[in-house]
Amino acid sequence: MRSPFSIPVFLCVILGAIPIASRAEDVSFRRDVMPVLAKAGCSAGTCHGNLTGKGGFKLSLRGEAPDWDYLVLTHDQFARRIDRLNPESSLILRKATASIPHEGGRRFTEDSPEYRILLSWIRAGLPRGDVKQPTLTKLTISPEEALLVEPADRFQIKVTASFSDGSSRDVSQFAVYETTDPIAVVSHDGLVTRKALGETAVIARYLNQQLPVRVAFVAARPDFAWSNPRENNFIDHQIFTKLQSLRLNPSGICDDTTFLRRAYLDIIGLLPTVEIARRFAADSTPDKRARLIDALLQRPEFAECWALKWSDLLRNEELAIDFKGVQNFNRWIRDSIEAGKPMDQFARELITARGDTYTNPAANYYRALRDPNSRAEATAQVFLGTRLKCARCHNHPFERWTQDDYYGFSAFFGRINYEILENKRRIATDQHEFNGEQIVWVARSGETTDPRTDQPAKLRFMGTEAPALSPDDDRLEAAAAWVTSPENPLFARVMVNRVWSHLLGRGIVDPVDDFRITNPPSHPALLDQLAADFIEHHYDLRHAIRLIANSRTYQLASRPNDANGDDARNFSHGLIRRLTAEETLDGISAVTGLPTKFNGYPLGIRAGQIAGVSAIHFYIKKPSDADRFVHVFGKPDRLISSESERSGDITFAQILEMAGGPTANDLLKNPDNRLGKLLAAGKSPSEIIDDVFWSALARGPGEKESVELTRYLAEAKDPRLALEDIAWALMNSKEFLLRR
Amino acid sequence: MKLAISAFLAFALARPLASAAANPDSAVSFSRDVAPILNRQCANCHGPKKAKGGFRLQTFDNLMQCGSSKKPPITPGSAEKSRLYQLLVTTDEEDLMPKDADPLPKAQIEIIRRWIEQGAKFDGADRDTVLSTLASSATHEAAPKTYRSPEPVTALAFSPDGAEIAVSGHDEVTVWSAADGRLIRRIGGLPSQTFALAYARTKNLLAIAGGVSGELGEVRLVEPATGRLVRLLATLEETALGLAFSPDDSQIAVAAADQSVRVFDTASGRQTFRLDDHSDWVMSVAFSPDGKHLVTASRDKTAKVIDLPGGEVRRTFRGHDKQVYDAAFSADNQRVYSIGADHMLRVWDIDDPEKSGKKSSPTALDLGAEPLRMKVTEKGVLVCCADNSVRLISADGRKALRSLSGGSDWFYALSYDEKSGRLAAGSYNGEVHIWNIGDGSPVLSFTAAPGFTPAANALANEPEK
Repeated sequence: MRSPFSIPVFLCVILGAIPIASRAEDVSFRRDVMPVLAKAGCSAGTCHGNLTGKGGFKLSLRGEAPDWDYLVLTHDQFARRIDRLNPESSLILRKATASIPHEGGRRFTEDSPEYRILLSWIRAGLPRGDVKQPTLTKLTISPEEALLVEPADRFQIKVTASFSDGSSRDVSQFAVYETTDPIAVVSHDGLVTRKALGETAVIARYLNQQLPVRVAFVAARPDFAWSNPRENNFIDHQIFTKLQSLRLNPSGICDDTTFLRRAYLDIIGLLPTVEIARRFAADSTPDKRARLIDALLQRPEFAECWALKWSDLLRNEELAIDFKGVQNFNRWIRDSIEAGKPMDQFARELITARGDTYTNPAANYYRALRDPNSRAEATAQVFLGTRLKCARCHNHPFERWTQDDYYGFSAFFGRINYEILENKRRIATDQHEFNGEQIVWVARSGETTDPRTDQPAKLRFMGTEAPALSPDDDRLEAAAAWVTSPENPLFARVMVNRVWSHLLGRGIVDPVDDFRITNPPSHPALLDQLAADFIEHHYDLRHAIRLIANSRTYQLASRPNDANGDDARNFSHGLIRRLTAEETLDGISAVTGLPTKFNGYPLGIRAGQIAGVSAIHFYIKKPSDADRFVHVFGKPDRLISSESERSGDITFAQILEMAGGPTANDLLKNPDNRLGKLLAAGKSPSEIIDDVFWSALARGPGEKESVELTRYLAEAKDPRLALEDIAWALMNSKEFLLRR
Repeated sequence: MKLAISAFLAFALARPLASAAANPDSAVSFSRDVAPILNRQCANCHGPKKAKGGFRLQTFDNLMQCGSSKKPPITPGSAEKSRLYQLLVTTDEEDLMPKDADPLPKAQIEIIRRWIEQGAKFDGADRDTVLSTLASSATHEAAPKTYRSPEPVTALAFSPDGAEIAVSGHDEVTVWSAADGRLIRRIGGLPSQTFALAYARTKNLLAIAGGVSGELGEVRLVEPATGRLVRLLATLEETALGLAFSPDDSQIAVAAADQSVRVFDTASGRQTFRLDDHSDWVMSVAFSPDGKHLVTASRDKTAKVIDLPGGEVRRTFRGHDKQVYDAAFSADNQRVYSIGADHMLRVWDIDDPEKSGKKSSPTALDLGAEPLRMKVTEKGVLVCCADNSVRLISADGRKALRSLSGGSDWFYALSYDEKSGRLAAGSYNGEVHIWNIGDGSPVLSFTAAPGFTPAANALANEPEK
């Protein structure tokens, strides 16, 4: 079996100190001095790279603007920072070596390579390094991945810079290293040393480029023997290959009850009914899991469940969109998913949307995004998993996105206008509220302004050159085509990674909307393969879910084995999550057999079917118990275009809500609920216990549970009260509240 | 060990001290030998900004006072009993000073030890003098005999008769003929940088403000014809950046990077007042033509009008949203021009219109480049800029009248000779350009760097693009 860590690991290679500039006249500001300013931390965001600089000395952040930095060092503040005639006395050297007081302390010593380079640059007469000089074209790093099994605990990173003149050199000494996790430390020269077992990424930065090294420090586990689990599809192959190299066995496959509940919650957002759970348990055919997945994908609740997810992302909420618009938008999303609309088409229809927002619901995409920048940011984040916002003010510190990319991409969204037919604003103070019909229309001309130049922004797709567009071309069409193109390396990966994260509890890239070089995927080859498969199957959401849910990886038990309990990113066991707000409330509703009431909706509409956030603003009417319940359990306000807005945290308020809050309590006490019906039907205590267990946990009671609870119920003076206690206890159990 | 030696060598070379270290028998001087060490090594954590461990050693008095440990830092006559010395030599890494840095070089520790053993005497004039300025009363390095590369011209001034131009040099001021650009004389003994120069109109004095960035500021009065030091007017903790004589030459105002504005009596050298109202470097200071006000420009983004002789702040102008480089009064004393890193020339009243109830007509002219220094003349306002230009702006501050050509680098300094109507500007590349302001014609340009020949340095000095 081929290991994903196929690149040889360099252990303990001590690099010779290779002076970058051996002769003074070779020193170039761009090529030699800029890396020193980064390496010494001068241009870091916490120091002189800060937006306002430090101590009146401001460099560009991480050296994004060498021309600026050159003038700052040589000319700014009346040329006080450099002493050409007495180079050793230059302020920058006295400060950096802390030979005079320096808030940032000593950055390097007089015998360091950094000092030597700065000094030779000053001695050489401050050569700027003109445009004819070679520029950095490519950075390569080795190893790209490092997997070290105990006792191995360190390895050397080698960073090689290639320049436009064809030359290349080892710049390991001058690269800046960072780790994303404190399990490893990196020395000044790129020696990575283990602090604890686990995985992390080390980022190496040199000039304007950066690369990650994925690092795994693996326990020796001398007794490790690969369990060789059966692979259901290519997903398992990729996941298991890496697990084996990490000397971890995956957990066993989960039991039927767990799988049933898991698949129901993940695919349609509901608990299985008593009848379904019983039937599934009794089914002994070998393909029953696959058939269940297929069946769930055809249920109407499937579309509702995924429309809920997309309504979160597309900011479908009543302040910007109004109640009617929210209903229409949610229905449009639901219908798209129900109809199996390919996800690239879905994205294109949103990005190019226009017209009356009531009759062309996709146009609601732009109703909350009132300016070109927020449209570009949302489109990049939702469909390309990219957080562009930083590039609004400065070139992105962790990525390649520049301000050119930012304003160039924004320019595609600059011709969107709104005709506000009416606005019956209910909250006078809220300028963001729009209550009434609007038409989103696209002007034939008009340019956005690049605030840096006050000139019209130059159209540009992120990271690529400007497209050739004729004046008649529709810019939204062009943007949509570029975003969703199979050649776009991000779109399919981002979309399928969102599905993966929904089902597995963590993205292959995580967070799912933070794709960047410095946040590498845990399983790059798997993500590639999933994306290719997604494209091949016409961006079919159901196909992607079916593929993933049928994998053995998806079906692994959440109980860890002896070794894989600490693994959080290799999918060696099922990840446990709290039920979402809607799943919890709809679950309580299903167990008690009673509907819940949301303000503005008829009785019987489930939490998972609610189109927006709250139909009637809390300024106007006190939220219903159900409205409040979903808020407490983390239903998002949909004010940002990110899944991270939905909270999966467990809070004390939630515990109180479950233990004694009015929502669950009223349903439990209601005489017409499931408990009342069971008692009224004259069922035996054991039958009643049985039914309540199946409804809450998708399983019957165990023997001990059955015996003791049956006796408790049979002997109770007030059976109704006893049964309420039992149901209360079940709904407050982890087994109910967690998806395992 | 290698590190310690090289650090010490660099240190020793940079300053003319360490004589005491070389000769174990000689007396150690606190001002000359000890103060520089303490100032360099300790001031970061125990200086003006921070007092870690409750201990500060900004002045000699501070040094002798206990910190939080309540143990006397210095026990004269016994290094072993002196807390400060103990912390320099302790083997306990937690306690060893300086913290999170290399230990002091052995030779420096030895100087401190011997100074304590010799009685820890103070040999300066005032125990309240900050250590950095104590150290500076040592002589400065000699100016280079010939300049390998031109030195940025950060200050220049026409002599009162217009015949000579004093120009900032390296460790010196050079004086050149305004007629032919010939070097007339060199005034040495100065700290490395000079940021402001001013001749008294009626007295035989040249005032020089400068220092060593990050270490020291100095203001000196010299006799222009000989360069003889008349008075060391002030030593400061940071560089002096601006300078002005009052219209009758009786007072000298100084603006400095220590955030202060000070006024001195020219005749006695006595400081008549000090203002600390700015929260960042004060870049320049100027008197009103009637001598009743000062205007200051600061990196704190404000300019202030100050009433004389009391020193009350009359108005703080907050119109610039970046550093203010320079400010000056209009001929009628009623308005102030100011220039800032926001590229603007702004004109404003000396009284706050909101308080005075007068109607205000604030004016702002976008210069499109950083204006660095200015001069108010009868022809208009002269501004030199970071786009290699010098411009003449109309007196109302609304219109650019003329741009003077010939410059090829940032202009840092301006001087105007009223009698001849000539303007001189100094540039980053060491050039001094002289124009006739009437028609904008160039009169003369030269590189103010003694012994410098461009040809020989062609390789070392890449032209700016």
